[in-house]
Amino acid sequence: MTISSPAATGYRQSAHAVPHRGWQTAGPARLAAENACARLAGCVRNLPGVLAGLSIGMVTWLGLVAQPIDRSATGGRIDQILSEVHAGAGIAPAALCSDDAFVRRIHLDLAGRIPTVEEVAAFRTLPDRAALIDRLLASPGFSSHFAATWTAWLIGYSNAYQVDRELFRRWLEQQIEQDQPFDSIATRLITASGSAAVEGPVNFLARHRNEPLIKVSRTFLGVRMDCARCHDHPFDRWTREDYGRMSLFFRGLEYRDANGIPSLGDRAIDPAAMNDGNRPRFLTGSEARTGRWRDELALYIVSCRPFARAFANRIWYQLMGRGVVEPPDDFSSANPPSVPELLDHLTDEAVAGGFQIRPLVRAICSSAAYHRSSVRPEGFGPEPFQRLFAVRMVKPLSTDQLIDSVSLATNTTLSMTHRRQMAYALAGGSPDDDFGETWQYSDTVQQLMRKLAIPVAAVEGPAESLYLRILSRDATPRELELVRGRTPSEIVNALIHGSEFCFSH
Amino acid sequence: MDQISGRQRAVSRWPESPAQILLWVALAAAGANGLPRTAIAQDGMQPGGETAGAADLDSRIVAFIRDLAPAGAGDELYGRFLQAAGRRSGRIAIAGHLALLEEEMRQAAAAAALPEFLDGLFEKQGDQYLLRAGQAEFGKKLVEEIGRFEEDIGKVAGELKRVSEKLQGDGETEKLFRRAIDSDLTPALLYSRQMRETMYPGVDVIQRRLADAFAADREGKIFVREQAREAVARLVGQLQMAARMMPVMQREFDALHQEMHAADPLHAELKERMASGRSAAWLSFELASTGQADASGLINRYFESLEGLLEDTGEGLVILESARERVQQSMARSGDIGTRMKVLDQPLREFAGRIDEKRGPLEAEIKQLLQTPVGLVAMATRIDVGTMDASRYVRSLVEQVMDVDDAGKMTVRADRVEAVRNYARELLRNVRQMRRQLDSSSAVVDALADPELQTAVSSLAGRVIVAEKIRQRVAARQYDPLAAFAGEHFDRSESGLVPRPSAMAILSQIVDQAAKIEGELGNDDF
Repeated sequence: MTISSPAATGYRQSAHAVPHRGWQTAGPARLAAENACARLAGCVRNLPGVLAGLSIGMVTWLGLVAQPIDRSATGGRIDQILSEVHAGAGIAPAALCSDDAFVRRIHLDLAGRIPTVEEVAAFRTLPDRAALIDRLLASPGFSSHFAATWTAWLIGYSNAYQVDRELFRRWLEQQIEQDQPFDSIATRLITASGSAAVEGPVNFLARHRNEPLIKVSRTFLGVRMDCARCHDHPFDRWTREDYGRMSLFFRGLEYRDANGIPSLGDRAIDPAAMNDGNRPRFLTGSEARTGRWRDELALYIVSCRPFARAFANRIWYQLMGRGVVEPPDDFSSANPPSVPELLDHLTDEAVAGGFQIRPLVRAICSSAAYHRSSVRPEGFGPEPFQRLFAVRMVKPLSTDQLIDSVSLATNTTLSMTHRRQMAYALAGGSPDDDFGETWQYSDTVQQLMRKLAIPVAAVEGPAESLYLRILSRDATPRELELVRGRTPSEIVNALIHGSEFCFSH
Repeated sequence: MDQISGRQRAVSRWPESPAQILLWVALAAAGANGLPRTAIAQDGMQPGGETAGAADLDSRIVAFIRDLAPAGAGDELYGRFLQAAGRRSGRIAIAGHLALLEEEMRQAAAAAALPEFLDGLFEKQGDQYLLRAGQAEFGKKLVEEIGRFEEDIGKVAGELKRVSEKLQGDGETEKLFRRAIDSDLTPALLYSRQMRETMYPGVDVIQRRLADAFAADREGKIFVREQAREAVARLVGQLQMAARMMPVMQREFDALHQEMHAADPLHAELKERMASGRSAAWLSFELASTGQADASGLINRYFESLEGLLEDTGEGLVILESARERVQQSMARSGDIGTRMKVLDQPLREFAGRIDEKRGPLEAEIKQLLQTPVGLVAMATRIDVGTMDASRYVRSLVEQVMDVDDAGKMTVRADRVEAVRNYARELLRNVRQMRRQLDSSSAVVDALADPELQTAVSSLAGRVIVAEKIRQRVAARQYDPLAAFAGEHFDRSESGLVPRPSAMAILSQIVDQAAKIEGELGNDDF
């Protein structure tokens, strides 16, 4: 690979050959190539899928756009499945995204923030996408971001019921940092006991003390048992008896108030002393056999196929912006996967990988599906492109991503208190919901910061540098023309509130 | 420390369920007589307020399994047990057995709690109990405690009687409410939970009121909670600043004190407050909490504004007539803070003494600062204790749901009828529960030989207090079923722990349960 200096060539990079690893992009006419690709895809939209697939191949052959060089069989299989699905549907997927779009996207997904100017520059110098994925996966930012995201998913944003949200987040971060597999994490969450101030995972059930089964089944099985609380599920097979029998696994769970702090423990009940038909029963039909019901429930959950499906789908959803089953906590006969083969494959990979998080994330991020542009071929609506992952979903930044990105863009260090207040404000009226719930613009970010008395360092510099700093790309001549005469503060304000900043695309 | 202030609540907030108010009473004897524990228990003074985490037990089980001797030829059942123990299902089966064993131990301990309590304090002579040697002081304090309790519930009873008489109307709501507050146990019930802890707070009350920021580990050592470290660090900064400001403030107060003319009781009171040291501590903390870093500027501005309320006369400085009301309000507030400081002083020292400074510099700093006057005043501004009496408590309850006219006649407000009914019904339920619990322990106290102690302990207040002490002991007890299991069924050999013949039935049961779990795992989809 020959890399020319951007300054010397006027282009980001040039690549003459596909080396042994990594994403290679052809710089000379990258954007033009994307457009060409999109146009080409548009032209072939009525042709069979073979021809649609050819458009990408041709462009790659021409060395015009990035092409994923996937080191894992998984990434390859994902693309193979989707390629067949796209061909069957007679659609050509969107072109692959530009390097600038990729570097922003991957930082948001794996580090939870926009890239720094230096990181953008480094990637422009050496645009090895696979290497960047690996670097981010190994960085502390990955554990930190996934912990923040999952904390929002698992216990929301509030400290309701005296839970220790920060202890929980740190515990999760530690688990991810130590490469603990997800089945182990799930087991700890379901079986935790002790004080919420001492044992991080206790805070999960302490937070959901009123309806532990609802949250556990949604989170770890992707199944909504809510309806079956009161009546047989109208669109699924779950009955009130299913709900009642599975709820029994939590019957011995005691929430104690230890000097104002919640504490979890169990009152052991011998299932042998219970009549047949009254013992706790899992959705697979498995029944409790010992006095440790939560332990058994956890074992039944992490050993069943729906757990693997829900985990694989959750990771896919988090990275792609849409689950193969969407929403990701609603697996049901009425809501089948959009690409069943893909879900099967991801599930198999999750099981084969022992529920390790990083390998699955790496596999998904290495697939062409992940690298697709968010721009659909001209003339097409969102369907079936989004459902079949032929185009990148445009995702609003999660509350944590937004806070961290604003913080980075404005050179602001937020205290934990400010961070919590800001998350609460941005999460609007639903601070207890998971990260699928997005923030609302009741205030501008600046108004919010002023309201919270957050000191913001002045960001100075020419407009070009501000675009790079905030949007991770160069300003276009038209944009430079538009902002001429504006102060840096005005430009920062405008960019941070633009949809380009507030979305991952 | 915003989290802490968020915990502050009126101690007599009406909608709070009487179930909460009475919970410890309801559970007291449940712990003592082996009744099933309620799903949400109030562990009160349990040292660590927690049990071992599940992961902790799992790791101990794994260590136990590693310590087992290999199976020899012919140990077919034991061999199968070892195989099962190597799998998750086997460990769950072992844990399940231990869970049931712990439940048995807990129930046995609860059933023995009363005899053990009595054995520790009294010697049985014939059919009577005498205080053991060395327990005389305990007996004396117990009688005093009971006496204080009785006196206080007498005041609550008087207030409730007044409400019952002044309550207008004879509808279902009024009749129900009268029934509830006229019960002989209601004053003890209301007093024992809310009022008592605010009037005589112990370290447990401090711990509960500061639960947002502090927690105790299993050994009872206190640490700063993860979620509150930033807030506590900020508080430490404020306290350090206040500690630096306090001597300067006091010098300024001393100078003003010299110049002040004790023209009337208000002036005399103000002079006394200036000299007491508490005012300097309080105001130093208030100023340091403003977030401004310029300590001298803050002090100067404060005294300039204070001097604006005074004027020079030939006799010295006096309060401006137009400022008397403001000064009185401020002194009322400072009086409340002073009262709280007196009440909190001892328990806060005890609380601070339990903070584990080895955890880190933050714990070390806050431990030291909480034992200073500014630390005490900081907590006094946040923890409302010592200022509540029976009359104020009952009045605040009534004011939330009733209109009171000039003659003192009370009428249930139309929008609170349902709340009053629910409250009354729950109160009555808890009264009945309390009566059952207290009846169960009343037979024992009849046997006390000391007439004064016997009279005290057999009174309503005495029975409540004894039940509480027993509950605390039961709640604080730790159980180790794994050690009990290993000790009862295994012998130590050179190759590790070897099961005794007595273990075989249990091992067989564990093997069987593990196999059943394995069988259940065959159902792996739905």
